[in-house]
Amino acid sequence: MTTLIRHLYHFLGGVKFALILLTAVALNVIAGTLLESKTNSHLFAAHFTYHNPFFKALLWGFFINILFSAMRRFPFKGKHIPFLITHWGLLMILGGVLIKVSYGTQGTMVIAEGSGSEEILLPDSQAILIEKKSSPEKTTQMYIPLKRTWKGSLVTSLQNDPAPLFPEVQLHLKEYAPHCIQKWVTWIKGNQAHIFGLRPFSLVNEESLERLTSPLIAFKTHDPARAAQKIYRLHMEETPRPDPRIVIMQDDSEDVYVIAFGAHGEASMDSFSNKEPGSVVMYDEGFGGYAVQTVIPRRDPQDSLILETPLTRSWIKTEPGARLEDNTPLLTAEVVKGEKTEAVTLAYDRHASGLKWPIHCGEYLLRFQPDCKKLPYRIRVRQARQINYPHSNQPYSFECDIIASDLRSNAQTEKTLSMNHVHETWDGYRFYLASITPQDKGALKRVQIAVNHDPAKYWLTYPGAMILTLGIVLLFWMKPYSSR
Amino acid sequence: MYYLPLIILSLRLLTGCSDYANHGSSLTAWQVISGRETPDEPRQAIYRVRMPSEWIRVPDEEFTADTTKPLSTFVIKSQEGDIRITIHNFPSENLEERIPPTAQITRWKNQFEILDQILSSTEAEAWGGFTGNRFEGIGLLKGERIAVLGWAMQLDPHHYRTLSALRHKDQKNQWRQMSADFTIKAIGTVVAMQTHENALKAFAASFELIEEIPSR
Repeated sequence: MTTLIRHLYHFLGGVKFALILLTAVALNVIAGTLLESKTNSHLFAAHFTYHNPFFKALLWGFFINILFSAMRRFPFKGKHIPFLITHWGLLMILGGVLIKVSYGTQGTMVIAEGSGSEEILLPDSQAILIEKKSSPEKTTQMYIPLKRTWKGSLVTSLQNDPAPLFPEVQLHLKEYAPHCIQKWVTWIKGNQAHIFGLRPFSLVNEESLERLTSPLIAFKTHDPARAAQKIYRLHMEETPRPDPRIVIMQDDSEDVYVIAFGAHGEASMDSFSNKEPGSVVMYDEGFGGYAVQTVIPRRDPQDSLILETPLTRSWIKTEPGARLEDNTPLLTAEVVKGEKTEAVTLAYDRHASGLKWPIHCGEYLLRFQPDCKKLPYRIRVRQARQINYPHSNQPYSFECDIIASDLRSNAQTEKTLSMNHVHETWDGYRFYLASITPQDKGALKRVQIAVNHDPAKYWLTYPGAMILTLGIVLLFWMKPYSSR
Repeated sequence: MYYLPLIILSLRLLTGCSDYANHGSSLTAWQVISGRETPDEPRQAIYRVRMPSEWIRVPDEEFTADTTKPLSTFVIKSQEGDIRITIHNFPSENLEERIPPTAQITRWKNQFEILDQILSSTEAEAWGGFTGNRFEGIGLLKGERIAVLGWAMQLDPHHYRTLSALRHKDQKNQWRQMSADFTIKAIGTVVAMQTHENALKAFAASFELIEEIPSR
């Protein structure tokens, strides 16, 4: 047994093990490069390589190899000093890397000019945001991270949370699909048209329309332009004179058109895409649901008619693409409160900027999004700008004026972020300007700021690098192994 | 020992280039500007702006509910002639009630008896959540050749809706004042305005709401 341990000890600290580790890392990196170039997806490659537990095990392997190789020189002599210093530096660097991998922070924040934030979205993460009104003026938010078990299934951390923020609520994941296509559903839902304040009415068959008998007509059509012309002709043929009417049409791609025909031949049209809801009416900040509206102009502008319909969504589950960054996962969750259970289906909101959906009669709002982490700093964006080369539209630089407030000490720092200027705090948080959209000079800009925090940088990684350098220099200077 | 410079150079290269020193310019202290009062609420601090120490701030008027009265006035005394800078805001009840920035610019243009069209320009601007236009004009006003540098800005609709939702809660007037359009207008002799152009633009660029706009 002792012999086995001794052999294992020498193997782990030997050159052979180092070569095995180096080969494994090289193959891993090659695989990552090939996977990324084949799938055009860094996330896909990272899942199998850099973010894989095997890669972390390789780092630990290096740590053990370097540590044991140094310990094997015991009892130490003067000639071992450069060697030990070099290995000590390597161990510090590796230790810093391992700490950063486990405890470091990396994420992004998107802030509009004039606003601020202290939260970052964690990349490649999933969570459910629950929001509740704690008072008429205030809402409280809670993030429930979703984790994959070793079997591959998705679970919430809610069951293990000893002190959840909303103890009255239980959340169970029922279904999960890795990718879906989400569509916005407005005026036509199934085979009926919906207008707030009126009973839903059935769709008619457009082909068989010979006379217009109702002021409200809805149908599905393959050719909305031709259908609109037909309806207008039938409308104007009415005797003694046309009655005002509303026509709702849905085409094959599920875009909806609302056309209002007046008694004197005037017409107005509004279109509603299934890809983007456009302008949305929000009731009670989302707790009361959402709607879209169309304004029917009348002779007196103040007398315009406003029609609204509830805004909902539909989903089609599809095969996930190779480029993981473009996939939109879909999940169905059951939210249990007391004796009431309500199911809700949510598509992944990658930027955490979309609508939150009400459940339990608007008592809670939910959104499926990346997990969030609060920083000890709040960043306020004053102005973001693109600076062009003189007399040109070619960008020379991108800049962003921020105020960084340390929430612990209330100290504020004004800084301009740009391409080669990051803001770094005393405790190692780094803020980089990642993008500015749009770049129009007169438009409200949204700034994406990348945030990085390496907790071991200043006391492990950087000193380790300096010690490693010293060790290498001493190896050449002292020449401890040369024959004298 | 002749390796010592190499060691020092290596250490310097390893320390990297980033730093967390404040590279912000040496700006002057903030000047706080209050919004307009209502019958129920007095003037409240709404804006702030950095003013060069050599400028003079004219004491604010006590009652500014009338939007023709400026929130604050600043004066630059110079040998080329004085420059007067006035700041107004225009609270509104809804998006549709707001006056487009271009209408403000047109009003300033119409104030000139003769406006030099070649030397006048209007450019889009945006900062702090506000979007609008900057106007630079030279022409005859009351028989004198003067220059005007003005900004007409209004809160982006996205932010306006956010603040409107807060108007039903406490501090109604504060949210209403924060969502108000504002103008900054500097008027003076052509030479004086050219001399202080950069300082005026920096002054306007520093104008912002004290409170950040909540995000939804």
